[in-house]
Amino acid sequence: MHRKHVELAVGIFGIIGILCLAWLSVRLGRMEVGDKGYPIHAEFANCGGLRTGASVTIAGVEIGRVRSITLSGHEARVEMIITPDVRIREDAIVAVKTRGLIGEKFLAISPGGSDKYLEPGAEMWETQSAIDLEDLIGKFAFGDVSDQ
Amino acid sequence: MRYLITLILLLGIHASAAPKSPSDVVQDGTREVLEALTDPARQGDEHKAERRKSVRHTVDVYFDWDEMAKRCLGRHWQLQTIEDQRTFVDLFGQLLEASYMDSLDGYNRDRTDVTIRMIGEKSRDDKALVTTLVDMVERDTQKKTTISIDYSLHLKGGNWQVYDIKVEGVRLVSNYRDQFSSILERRSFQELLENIEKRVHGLDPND
Repeated sequence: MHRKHVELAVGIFGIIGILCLAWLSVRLGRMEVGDKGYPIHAEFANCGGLRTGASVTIAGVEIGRVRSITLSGHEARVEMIITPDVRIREDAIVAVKTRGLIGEKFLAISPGGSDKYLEPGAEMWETQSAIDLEDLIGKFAFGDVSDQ
Repeated sequence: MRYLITLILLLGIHASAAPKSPSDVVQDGTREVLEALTDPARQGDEHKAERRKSVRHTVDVYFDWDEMAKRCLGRHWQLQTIEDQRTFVDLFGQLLEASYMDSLDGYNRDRTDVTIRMIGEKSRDDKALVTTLVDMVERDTQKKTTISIDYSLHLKGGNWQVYDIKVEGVRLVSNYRDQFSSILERRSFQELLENIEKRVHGLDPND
């Protein structure tokens, strides 16, 4: 009888643990900025595995999240939500970067010097796609096929 | 008949006044730079200065140095006086010239054939992006290398001018913006100007 109680307790504890994990992953994956910010979008030749909910940063500080990633023509169209108190200059460059060597992908904005600011819904024209490390290593290690 | 001639003349004038498309600008620019570089009258080390001057002159027509320098400085641009901005634009042009002229000259010396393939163009209002692939074939060994170069252009004074280049996915402006901004976090703008000046003279032994 006592043994049964212990098993039940372990079972409940396990379920609570799983629920906590589920809550945590939903919380971490979701956009916390929500709809409070304003949208801007950018097109990348290769967004290299960037995911919805990835952070958008300036100087390492999170100022927004990726809301959606869709295919537009042959390019990746990334829509971001930016916190209302941050304004982005027209000549800012947005780049897909990786945390660490094989970490998650995020967007880093390098602020520009223009006196014009992006309006809500505008497109960031200056983009830099993810650098394909495998591609670079391939080229370095095996040379260009067109070498011959 | 007179009206017809007038109309044709007007159309002709209109056509010549219309700006070249961004792709045409890139194609013509590349061709003219290559012509300046391989001009038989300016070959050899004795004509080096002359050859470089001619290349620089051609590049000046197609590149908007002001915009490029401004973008490279990013948010620090507006903090400088107009004189400092002007000095920076001038030095920045010299820095690029000193950095890349040797490579350009190298391709010429190594007898490399350079051809440019236009891949695509997209534009929005006064901005355009031209994607190209550049094939370089060494004449002696037939070794071929292909690199992707994208040109960012904007409309200035009715003409398309280049303000950024992306080589194999890496932006020139982005690269310099990061470097300048990390220097300016620790040093003054005057020190940055001195640094660039030293680098320009270091790169170009003729100076």
